[in-house]
Amino acid sequence: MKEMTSLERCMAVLDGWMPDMLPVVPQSFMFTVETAGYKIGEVVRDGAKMARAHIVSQEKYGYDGCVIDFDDATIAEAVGAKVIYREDEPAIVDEQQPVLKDLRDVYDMPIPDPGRSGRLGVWLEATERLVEAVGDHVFVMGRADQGPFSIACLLRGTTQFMMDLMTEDPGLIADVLDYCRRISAVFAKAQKDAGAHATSIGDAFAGPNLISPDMYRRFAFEPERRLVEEVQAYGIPFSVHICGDTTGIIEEMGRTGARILEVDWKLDMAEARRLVPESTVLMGNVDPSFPLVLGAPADVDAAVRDLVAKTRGRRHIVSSGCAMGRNTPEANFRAFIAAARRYGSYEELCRLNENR
Amino acid sequence: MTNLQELSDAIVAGRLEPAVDLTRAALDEGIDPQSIISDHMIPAMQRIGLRFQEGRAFVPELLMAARAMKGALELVKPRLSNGKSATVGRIVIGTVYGDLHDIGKNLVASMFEGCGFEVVNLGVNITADRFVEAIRSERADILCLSALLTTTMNYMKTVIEAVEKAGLRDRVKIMVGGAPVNQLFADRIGADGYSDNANSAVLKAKELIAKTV
Repeated sequence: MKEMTSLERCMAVLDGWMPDMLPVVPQSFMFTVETAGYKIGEVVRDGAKMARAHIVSQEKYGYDGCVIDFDDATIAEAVGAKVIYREDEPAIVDEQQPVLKDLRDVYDMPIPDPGRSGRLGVWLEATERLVEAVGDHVFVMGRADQGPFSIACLLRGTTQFMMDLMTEDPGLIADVLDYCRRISAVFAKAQKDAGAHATSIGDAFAGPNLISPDMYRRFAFEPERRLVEEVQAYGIPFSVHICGDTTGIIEEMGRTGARILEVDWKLDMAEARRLVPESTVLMGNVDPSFPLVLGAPADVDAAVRDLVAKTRGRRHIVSSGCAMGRNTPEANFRAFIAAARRYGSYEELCRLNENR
Repeated sequence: MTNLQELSDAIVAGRLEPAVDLTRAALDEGIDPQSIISDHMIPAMQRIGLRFQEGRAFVPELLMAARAMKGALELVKPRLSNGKSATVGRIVIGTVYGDLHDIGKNLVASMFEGCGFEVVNLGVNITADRFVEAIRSERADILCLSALLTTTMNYMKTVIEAVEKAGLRDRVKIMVGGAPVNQLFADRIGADGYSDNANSAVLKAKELIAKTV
């Protein structure tokens, strides 16, 4: 088969064609920043450095796509949340000083301007620069930061919002989540305008680490579904990531219509493949802790081999099952990509699908 | 006569007001305060903890139960003969330096409290020195370390080494937890225990204390 560029490889998977090999798109922003010789603290307010980090790291390792993620605090900050910046670790929202002291404050909250509010413009500059530099051959996935449920947690304080779910009027909760959906959509659409090939959100707090599948269905699903619908109607594929063992909600995540789901490492990928529509691309899901940080290259190789066997390479982008640590050993990262190339080669994919 | 099964049920259901009312009524009837804690409140937290571990309750339910438990406990504590409940053990807990994650660690702390431990929750971003100092000043039986990042979890090793250096390692059991941590890592850094959820953390802590006695 004719060799594809990284971008063609990713688009082939999105469009349901057989790629020349499975694409690799790691969730690697912390590792990426280190690779470029930066500290995350100096990068998060500098769009040029953000883009540079991805360009250096992608060129060095030759993976197929970049996810422009830098922290979980950017959307919340753009509507007034206090953020704690640190030199070595991602910026985070200071939940001790919540923006929504009362849920009803949501009715007075602003809609952010992607060019001006907080650091939205910095992220978008990173997207523009990255697309400009490598977007003709590398897949660029924008990150519209957080999904509706996670934004609500960050604006209200997660512990308090968890209790609000049990005690407050469901109509009010729905209004809060609808506001969060609207501001998430603003940023997601701006990622398309900046030239990204796809965009994405993390909605970690909507996962089973915190709430039940039933609560996901009652509160988080509909805002996510509407967000996906609106953004994809705007003309850009959308990806959703929820942390934790999402076996109980992955079917609904599939029903959001998102063209890509970033699957956490706690899920069995075969089960995930079985539960979502065939047309949904699954991205994932090697454990970022073991084997990627704590294991040896041979452990990484085995994990990727087993992973590809589980999806048989069908609509699969090989990735980590959550953000990779910045202390991932280089040898392990190289082994990760090499294994994806070996077990995800065209010949292997044909073989995996022949036997069925 | 107050039905203390209802108190237990109110805590499990996370209903603060009935839990407080029933506790007050029980105390007014002269029921032994220690018995209210040991025979009704702690079993209630064990019930919700087990549900949590089995995936039949989640963080909102656990937070509500802990809130109801704490509300009831505040009424009981002043009525205990020496002002203190018979404690299962003393725990110092915190999220390690560089890491600001709070929720998981607080849940574990609540479960410990709810199950009869005395807990000193140091908060987040805690240096090795502060952990060492707290082990000393609080006479901790168990030190619990939390980390949510593959980078900060390495600091757990630094803390354990500092505890060794301070000559306190024989006096305290050390437990670790958090998303990137696993049993392999816990063994590698010389921790005594690992748990991946709030309920089994309590079981592990009890097991470790039983071994020391």
